Amino acid sequence: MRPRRFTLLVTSLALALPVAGCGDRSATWSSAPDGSKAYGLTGAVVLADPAANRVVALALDPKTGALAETSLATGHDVVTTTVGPSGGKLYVLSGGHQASLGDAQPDEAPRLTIVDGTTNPATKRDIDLSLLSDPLDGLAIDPTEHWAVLYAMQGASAAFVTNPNALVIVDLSTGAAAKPPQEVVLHSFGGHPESLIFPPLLGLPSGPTHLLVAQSDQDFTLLSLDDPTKPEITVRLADATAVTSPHPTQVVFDDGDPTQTDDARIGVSFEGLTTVMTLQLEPATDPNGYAPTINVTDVGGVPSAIAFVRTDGGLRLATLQPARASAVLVDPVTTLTSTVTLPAAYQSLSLVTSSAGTAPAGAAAGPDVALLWNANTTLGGVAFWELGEAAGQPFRSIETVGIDAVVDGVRDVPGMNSTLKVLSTQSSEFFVLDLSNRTATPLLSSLGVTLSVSPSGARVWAYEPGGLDLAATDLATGRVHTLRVDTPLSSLFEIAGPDGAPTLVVLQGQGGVGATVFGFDKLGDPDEASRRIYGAILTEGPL
Amino acid sequence: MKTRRTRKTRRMAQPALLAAALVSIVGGVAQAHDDLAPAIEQAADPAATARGPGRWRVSVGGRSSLYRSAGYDAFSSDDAFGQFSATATATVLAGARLSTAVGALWEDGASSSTARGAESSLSLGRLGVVLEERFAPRPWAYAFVRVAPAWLRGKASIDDTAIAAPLETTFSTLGVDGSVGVAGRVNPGRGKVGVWIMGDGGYGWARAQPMALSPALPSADRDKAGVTTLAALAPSGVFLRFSLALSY
Repeated sequence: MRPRRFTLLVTSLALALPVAGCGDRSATWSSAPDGSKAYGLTGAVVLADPAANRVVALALDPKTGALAETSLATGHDVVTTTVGPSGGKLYVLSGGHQASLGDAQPDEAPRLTIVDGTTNPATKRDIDLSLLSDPLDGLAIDPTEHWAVLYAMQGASAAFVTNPNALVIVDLSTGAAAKPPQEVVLHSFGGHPESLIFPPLLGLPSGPTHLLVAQSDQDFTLLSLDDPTKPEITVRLADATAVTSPHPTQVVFDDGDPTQTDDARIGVSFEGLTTVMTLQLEPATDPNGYAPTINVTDVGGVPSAIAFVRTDGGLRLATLQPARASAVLVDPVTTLTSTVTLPAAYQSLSLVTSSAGTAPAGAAAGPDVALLWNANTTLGGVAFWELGEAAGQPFRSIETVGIDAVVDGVRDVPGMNSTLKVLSTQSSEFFVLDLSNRTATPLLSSLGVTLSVSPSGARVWAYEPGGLDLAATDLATGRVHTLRVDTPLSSLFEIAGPDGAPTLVVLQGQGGVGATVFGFDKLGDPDEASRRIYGAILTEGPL
Repeated sequence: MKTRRTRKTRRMAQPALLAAALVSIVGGVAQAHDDLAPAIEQAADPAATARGPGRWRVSVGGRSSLYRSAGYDAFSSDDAFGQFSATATATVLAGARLSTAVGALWEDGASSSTARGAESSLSLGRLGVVLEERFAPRPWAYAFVRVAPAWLRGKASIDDTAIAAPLETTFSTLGVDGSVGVAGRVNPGRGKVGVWIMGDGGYGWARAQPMALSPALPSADRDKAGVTTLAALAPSGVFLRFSLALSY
């Protein structure tokens, strides 16, 4: 063998071995986590990582106190994600994958992944939805988190052909009693569900019942979640001769007297119409054991909001009419109306009876107190509506609070400060409203701040996405504690640590995903000394 | 007769040298020297017989390794890791065709990539001892077996702009390489200085290193650095080394 040939052999070997052996890494590594959304649960912050078909739960390690990551696999093609009403679980609906010939990725059925953020580390379980050939992209969770309902969102479905009136009811309970997912096809008069509503538990003639209301553009359907095999009841909103159908804008419920089973009611308002509809669910002989009795009332103006309220004259359907700066109370039994003139054109109302402290503790539920807000002038602020005086002296039933701003949002405060509300405005200030003494504490801020009430109700966080500053306002004392992070923040979440102590997780998301974690001192203030900085959070692997 | 006897003696010495080299791999350099007295007595003078590989040799080149470790994915888009490689050896035992060399090895390299939108890099250096047994069937070519225990030092960093400082970590560990290779002289003639091209391939092993990266904050803020834990990095895998060498 000549030296030249020998050199060629060695060179060839040198070139061939690396090329033959090199393996590419997962494509996930090259994808920036720009599309990663964050969800706050009770004990964890969950980052959706669709590029890696997983979610990553961030929580404090019980042993080290450091931020720990738990990677939990989801299905492919996540179509929607939502936090459950209790705030402890995240529901991830994935469409799966339909493999074609030669496809390296195997077939995968749609599935619902439930991430439990109340455990440490976070856990998950999957519910197989193989009864679906195509994914449904709408997901609604009932307030008790006993059921999930899948439906086709209008215009957003990726399926080739979808029956928009097909629902899949998923029993979220565990154990042997859990029922398999069940498909229900609603009878349609041409419409399709636009939203799903879960009323509170209603005492119906057939017993306490969890209903599902499927609201469409021309009717709504009542379906028993306890037994979906019972025939649904569809309420058409126009008679058969009508050319157009009124479009429902709001549907409200009232269980009536807890000792009665024939007085549950549903109230409906319509887009652009001055009429409201009330339905009483009365005993009937059909399989459901009830049937709706319908009343329609003209309230003289287009209502912007409706609610069932208890007045000194009995149950009424309250309707706000900002065009006339008034409210109209409808007696659902007689359909008689009474008008209350308001000091401003309020467009929204919230019932604050339990927090306003008008009834002594332990006393039977008395007349309601409503908070009126979202007026069209800055002088409107908010007003309390004492419905205990609505029948006799309606003109004396309104009490305004001196807030010179248009209140565009009312946030509930849970836990220890449940008598407070946080009011956001269209100007550079927000307010802490004390329902018990009806005072409002103004807090000045930059325009456009985002407010977030802590799960414990101890404080409200104010921050500006993309900014460096954040502030905690102690809701009990009004004391403000300002913090600053080193790089622009995207969102923040207060979670419960291993010992239940609060922990603040500030997410920073330009480039990769970073986090700054703060603990709290004994006074309940954020503790700067406890700050810990974490980077490249979604790079833990293997992916 | 005298010539025939000398050749026979050399043939007998070659297996003995090979056996001695294997013992030195297992038992370490000091023990090999201690135990080699009989073989050395039978070997010829290295200076007189180093016509092939030569007595002194330095080489520089490149090493390409394949790291299939999951911990490497954050620092490279594939499994290849390239390093500069430099070796210096001296022949300590030499026969007609077999010779034994010892020396030192230094290799250094880096890889960079992006990891979920953040710039990432890994540098890895290796400083080791070379034990090499050579077989030279021709004056211009020889094959060799090499064992190289080494000290490895690495530095990994991820520059995530989401936080104020890059994440970094360093580590060091012991490892060992084993390889076989061939070398060929490219300058013609039988001059004292030889120019060689050589290649060897084998497997390098080092213990997997936990990759716990934390922000490189100023010392006053060091206690604020949280730890991001990646998959462990095992700098182990097959490799190929390609070098240019000078012998004397």
